[in-house]
Amino acid sequence: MVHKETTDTQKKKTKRNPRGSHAYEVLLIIAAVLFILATAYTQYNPMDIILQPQNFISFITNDFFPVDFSKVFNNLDTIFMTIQMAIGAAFISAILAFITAVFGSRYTAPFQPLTKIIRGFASFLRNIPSLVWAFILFMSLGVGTGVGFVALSISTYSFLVRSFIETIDEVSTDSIEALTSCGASFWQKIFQGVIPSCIQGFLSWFLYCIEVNIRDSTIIGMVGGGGIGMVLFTYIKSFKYHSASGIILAVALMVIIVDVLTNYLRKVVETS
Amino acid sequence: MSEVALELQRQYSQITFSANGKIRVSKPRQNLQIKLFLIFIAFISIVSIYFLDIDWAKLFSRVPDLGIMFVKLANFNFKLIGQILSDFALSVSVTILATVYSAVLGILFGAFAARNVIKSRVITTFTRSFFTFIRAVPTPVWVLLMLVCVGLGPAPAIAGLSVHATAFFTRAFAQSYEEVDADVIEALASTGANKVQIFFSAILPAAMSSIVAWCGLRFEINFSESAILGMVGAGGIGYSIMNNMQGYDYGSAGVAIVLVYLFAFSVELLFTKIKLKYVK
Amino acid sequence: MEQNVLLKFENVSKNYANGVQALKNVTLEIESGEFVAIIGPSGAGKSTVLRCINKMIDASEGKIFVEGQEITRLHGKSIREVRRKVGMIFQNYNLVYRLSVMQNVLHGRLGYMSDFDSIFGHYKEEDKIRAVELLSEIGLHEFMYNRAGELSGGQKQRVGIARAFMQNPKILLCDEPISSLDPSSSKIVMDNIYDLSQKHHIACIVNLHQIDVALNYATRIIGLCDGQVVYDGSAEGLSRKMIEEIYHTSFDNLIVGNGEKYGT
Repeated sequence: MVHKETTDTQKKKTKRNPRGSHAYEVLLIIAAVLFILATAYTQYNPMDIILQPQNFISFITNDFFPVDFSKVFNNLDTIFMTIQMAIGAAFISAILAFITAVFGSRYTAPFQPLTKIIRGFASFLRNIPSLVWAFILFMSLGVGTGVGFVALSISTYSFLVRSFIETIDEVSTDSIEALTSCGASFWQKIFQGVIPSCIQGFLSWFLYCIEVNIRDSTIIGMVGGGGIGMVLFTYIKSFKYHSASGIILAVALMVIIVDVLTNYLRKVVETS
Repeated sequence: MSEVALELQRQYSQITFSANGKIRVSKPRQNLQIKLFLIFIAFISIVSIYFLDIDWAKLFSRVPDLGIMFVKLANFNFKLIGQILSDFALSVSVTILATVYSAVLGILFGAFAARNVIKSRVITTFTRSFFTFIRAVPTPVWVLLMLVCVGLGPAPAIAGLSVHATAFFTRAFAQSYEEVDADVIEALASTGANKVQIFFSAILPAAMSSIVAWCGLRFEINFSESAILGMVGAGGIGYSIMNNMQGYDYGSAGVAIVLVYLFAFSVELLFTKIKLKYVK
Repeated sequence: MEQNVLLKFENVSKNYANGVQALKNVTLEIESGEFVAIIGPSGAGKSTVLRCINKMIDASEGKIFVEGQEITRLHGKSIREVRRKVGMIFQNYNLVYRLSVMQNVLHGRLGYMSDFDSIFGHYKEEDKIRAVELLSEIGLHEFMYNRAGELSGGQKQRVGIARAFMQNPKILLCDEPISSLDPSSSKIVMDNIYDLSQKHHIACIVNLHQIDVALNYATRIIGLCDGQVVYDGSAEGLSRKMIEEIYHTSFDNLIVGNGEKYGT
């Protein structure tokens, strides 16, 4: 998460304030309490798995290997479909999110009350997991690539609205202030102030979303959105583990390639 | 070019003119990279969407059905609230346990992946690559595999979520470790401390605020994933939502969805407030 | 009202929701061609006064007149028309760093242009020529195509000055223009502000922390403390006692440059 890594909240270390040491202790206690409660509720004992790895090992050796790569080649078109969905959804969402974000940032919005509405709306979309959206959409609009695309777009859109607003707030406030004092109108501020200063940040977020979407697209596929996810899910549920292993490796490879590509492109964008 | 223009060019040698004789306001190559990039992205995206062969007309014609669905979901049915709450508690517990276990493992493995903790490039690269692979496999896939190995119950969900989250934390914490000031490490090394002591006395405390921030971030994501896991068969609130919707009990599903939303929203609000308060 | 009163504050107050009173009953008049420095401790209301003039902040009570027009009740398009008459430069320069120096200067004309032209950056030729000439007046025409972000602090501020003057303003507001600059750049910037505003007969109001700078350039000083005007008079009349009253502390607790300049 390169961009998140560079926001101020992660980069700056907490100052050694007098309450600093207590804060960690409090956190630790809260975490310990929650941990105990959760363990009690679920009766989870990791030692069960760790000390008895026979199941796991036999699964890996017998069912996982040998990997059936032929299935991968049969499904190349579905793999591409997953990638297409990821990029396409990110693109549409980015455009819509940009338009929404300029009305949602309190520095650029023409009407202040609008910002709260927009942020609330984006928060509502964002805090409902993408798969839940996918499910709602599948149950009402039917299963299929198009619906999966829309579900992916909703989760990408809501994420980008917040990220874009954050970028605008971080980067353009000063220049927007100056343009306002010159007598610039809303559109002038957007095109001569916001876009030039934020375009790098927007592109960076967009590329990050492509990376996330590859994974989300696969997951949404599992529930019915088409693409490689559905193929994988079917193989696993029908015990065809040799085929599944090939697909898993293919998915991992796809994710890694997209990761590397987008990180490279983000570096290019950030230094241009 | 006009008289005025020629006069200007004589006075200020820097001025350049565009093809139709107008004064330029910026270098022609300026921002060219970004513009090309934008065009490239737009092209690829539009081609991608086109070849998906989505029947947009049909899709949009069915939007009213979505509206009907929302109405049905909003028609809250609290009869099954007990079941829903216990599923919810399960998801929350899964989130907590997965976050705690993977954070602890991440602190350990992150050390092996940090170039300023382990001198051996071989070890750090191997650790990083290994966990990059693990991270590349989406969480639900891990959980599905765990389901096959371990069976039913919350265990596969916790284990599967932990696997992916550990890989995430490994890379995040390795970065936190590497961000620690080299001077601090040097100072302690010069007093004769060995590697382990340096790690626990210098690197870990300095990286702590970053680690806590990552944990907070991942907790939100973990909850989101944990809610989803129910839909691939691992139990929890996701299962509750899916089951009720497939059984046409939209009212109950609506309650479950709102519960998920409220929790995620509250956590987000809480963390934002904490961030504002403690990190200047 | 006299013909050349450019700016008038009548019992202006600004209250915030959390109870903070940024301005209390401020009354003053500024004529065209004046060079006024506002001094006072942090939080005294210096920035608030400036921002009330171009309605970046709305006054809670009282009336403000710009060129005889009462601006407190204005909305929408008329606010734009007031703002383009009032140029402003900022402590942090507030430039768009990715754009060229020339593009930043031309932003001063946005208040006079239609949306459509601005979106595509279609500035009029005479505006571009004026921009070049302005840049040449402040000595930055060599950098006209450089990205604004590539310049030094002092240079960036001067681009900001050029942008403000592109507006053909009647009033120039300067919010702590040299706070982020080294002594040499500070002098160049203050000289630019002074020379250009005197040359084009523009009233200039400058917020400053540095009292010696204020005395060097301004003929009139306004001292603000706790949102109230504590001193409004000539630079010569600013005595030690006055300074102590403005800053609410003994003279020994202040760094004010050459102490001998001030009478008692």
